[in-house]
Amino acid sequence: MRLFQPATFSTDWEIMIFDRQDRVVPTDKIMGLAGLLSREMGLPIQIDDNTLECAMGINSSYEQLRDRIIRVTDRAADLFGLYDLGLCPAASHPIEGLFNASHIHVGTVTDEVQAIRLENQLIPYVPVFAALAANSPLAGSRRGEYKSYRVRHWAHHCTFPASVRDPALSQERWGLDAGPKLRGASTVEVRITDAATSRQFLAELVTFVAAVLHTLGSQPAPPLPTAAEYQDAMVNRWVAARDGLQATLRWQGKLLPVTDIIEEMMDNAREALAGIGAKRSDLTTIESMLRKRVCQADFARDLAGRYSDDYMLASVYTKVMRHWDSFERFLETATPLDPIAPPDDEEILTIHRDQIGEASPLYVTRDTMGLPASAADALLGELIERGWVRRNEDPNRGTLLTRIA
Amino acid sequence: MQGLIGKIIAGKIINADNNTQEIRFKPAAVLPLRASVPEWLKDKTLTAVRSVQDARELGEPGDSIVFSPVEAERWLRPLTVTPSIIDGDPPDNLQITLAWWHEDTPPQLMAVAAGRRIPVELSRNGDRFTGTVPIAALRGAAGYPEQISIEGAGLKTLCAFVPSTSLSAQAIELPYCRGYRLKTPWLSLDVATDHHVGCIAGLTETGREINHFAVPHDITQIPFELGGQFERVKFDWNWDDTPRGQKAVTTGTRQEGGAIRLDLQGIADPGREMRTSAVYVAYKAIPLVTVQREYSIHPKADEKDDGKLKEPIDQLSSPSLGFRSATIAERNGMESSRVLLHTGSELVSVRGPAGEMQGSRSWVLREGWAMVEHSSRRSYILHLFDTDRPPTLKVWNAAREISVEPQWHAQPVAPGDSFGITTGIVAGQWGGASAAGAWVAVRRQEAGGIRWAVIARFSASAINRTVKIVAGQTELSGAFEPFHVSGIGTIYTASFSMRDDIEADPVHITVTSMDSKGQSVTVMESRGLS
Repeated sequence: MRLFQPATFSTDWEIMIFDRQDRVVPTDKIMGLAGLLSREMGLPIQIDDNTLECAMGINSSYEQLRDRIIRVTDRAADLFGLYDLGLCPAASHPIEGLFNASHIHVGTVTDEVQAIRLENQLIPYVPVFAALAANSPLAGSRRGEYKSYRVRHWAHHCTFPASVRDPALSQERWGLDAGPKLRGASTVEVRITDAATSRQFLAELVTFVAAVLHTLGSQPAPPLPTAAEYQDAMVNRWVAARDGLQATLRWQGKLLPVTDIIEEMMDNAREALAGIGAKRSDLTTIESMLRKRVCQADFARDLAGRYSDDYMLASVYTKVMRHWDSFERFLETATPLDPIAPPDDEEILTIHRDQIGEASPLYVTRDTMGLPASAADALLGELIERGWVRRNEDPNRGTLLTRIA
Repeated sequence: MQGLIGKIIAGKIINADNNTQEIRFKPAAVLPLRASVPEWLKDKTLTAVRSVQDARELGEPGDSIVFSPVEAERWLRPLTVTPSIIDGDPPDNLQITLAWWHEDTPPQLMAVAAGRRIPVELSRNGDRFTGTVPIAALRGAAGYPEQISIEGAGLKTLCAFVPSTSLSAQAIELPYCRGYRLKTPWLSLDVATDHHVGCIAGLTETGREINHFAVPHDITQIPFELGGQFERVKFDWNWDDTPRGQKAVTTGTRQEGGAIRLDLQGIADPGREMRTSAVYVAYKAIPLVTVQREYSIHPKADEKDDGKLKEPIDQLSSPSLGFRSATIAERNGMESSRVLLHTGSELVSVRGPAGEMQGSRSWVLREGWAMVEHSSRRSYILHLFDTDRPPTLKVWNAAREISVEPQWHAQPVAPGDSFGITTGIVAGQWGGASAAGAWVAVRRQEAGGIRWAVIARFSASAINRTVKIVAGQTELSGAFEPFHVSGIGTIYTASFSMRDDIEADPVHITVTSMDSKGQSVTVMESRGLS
């Protein structure tokens, strides 16, 4: 069985545009230039909520995708430069409340039933993609607690964890971390990935993700995840958001650094990589990142460490990000980072407790790590049992939680 | 608090080893609102030295360069006078500092007061110019002037004399803009007039000299976003930010009935022909401030009849009123800042992690109060509302601040109609709340000892309202007295004089009342929730 026939892939890269007063340029101003770019490039480039959404068309090889990414963004930089505008490829911003993605489309899929089965299969893998792509450690005035605030906060509900779906018992869903998208495309869309800063990294990331999906799509679907495996995946998703490539994940009954998992996934996807014209040795940026456990978020965090004022940081951020090789330059000299231990059960409990204030809604126990209702309720029961949290039922305001210790 | 954004003209490498450059730039705008730069900076070329890790952080000619409030102050507020407010005996001289000027010689400045003008002699002192002004030279027959203006070459700064009377209103300069200070024996209320057609910029206890709306001065921030209180209107789903940059004109200050009041007027929204007025009142006897805000929508003067058939609904607007009162949040886990409120049926304590908006349409403030507690710095702010038309409440736990955001129901408004709210605010060092009400206590020095005031709002069913204060070795107790406030209703006050030192600790305050069945109910003790 091969789910993806022919093997294709692409990305929709959301890029912020700023003027020379560091103001984000709104939709109505960039729409015309996006249209012009789309016409010139022959690609479905558009806008999405104050970003230029560079959709890279349908690609069948790594070289083709990489070439398109470079040509589109070079031309976009020239075109917007005519109006003194600069491109700022990043998944978040120190002042603006935007979260941006590099959505990855993997095709070609025509069988939605099989694609839903793959969606289930992808649940453990999406935290790995999130860790590798993490690039939103600055969001509004928040800094650095997470390497991906976008993933932690579900991209303002534009990317959220998939449920385990039975094709016989489910409807089409939009906005999943990864799932079929047969409307306007014939792909499985991976939405969890933060918008990239580096063009080279983006080309490699998309190729890697596509090869993983092509590989999984050619294998028999495994049994559905158990409740425990699903919960581990949700914890992993949170850990990936916090730690990026320093993450240690719960993986098939063991604790493994996410970099080791990616290495293994690369090896397993060797054949699929070849199918789209790539070798593992082509993915040089990812190799360097794995070796140092440094992701793009570490670059932004390093910058933020030198500018305490949000507006100063924003100005510097937009100036640096427009250079497509800034991240690679940083990576060359970056100090290798160590893996971070994942939270154990006790720490998971306290992480959830700390999200509860007074009169907090029940859903904070769900939103924190995306634990499903039964697991979140078990955890809440433990918090109540220990005398840390009180639960009140209010007919007007629903279930409210109050931390008391 | 205000940064400066400029456009780079050129950069000159001073030290290539550590990427140090001298940057020449033109000032472009004042951050964060990107307001026009002051006259003295227009078309000027400034220089600054920056060391960076990567030269790309500096950028190229035409790029922006941003300076923090600390860096930008010498350009944005080059002229300062010390002291800027004289509250008590004046010094012999005012110290004048010009921290930056675009020429090697300083401009000719004048000290102006009550028709007198004397030149200010400035001389170079390191990287700045300094000089002094003898205050006696500006004193008139009637005594010291209300204010001394240092001005010239487009620069102007004020030194305000706060009268020795127990109630006063005086124009002052605030960090963001111009404003007024209303002063009572209990507090100083700073009202900014250049934003939101008037807003509260500061509320400082006389006793502790603590400004409950204080904000950090070293980060660029939207005026009054982190600390301050302003009214606002929305016509659909979103609060209308139009009033942010709208200025108010002062139509008068006066004392009346044991209070000092400031009247402001302005255009809240030129596009809607929406006008507004605000009256700020600070009371002499108690530490209470009230704000009465009115809006009115007027027919557009230049609107032409388009000949289309009109229906009654075409003229109708549906504004909702609200205000946003922000203070710097304490984030200490269980001890984090919180908001207490009463819905008429239960006491609710609201405390959330940063990033959480909390609120409910059923959080109707029927008891007419909500209280913000910052327990570490002992700041208690009691907001008071009309119980006949209470608002609902949302609480926003932002990264840096916590804001209480009451909202009143939308109402149908036709051209010519007016709509408004009256609110009250009391800030103090101790506070408490329970199902029976909420209170705030504050103390200050007075001749011969300490003066205490306790302001409370009780539920309608509470009777026999009393307070006991234990401060150090001294104990006082007494009954609350009703105090009717127009637009808010009845609040209760108790005040005492104590022969003691203001530092007397520990302080323990117990407010009690009886319910209508005659059972004793402890409203709140200052040590914790009852």
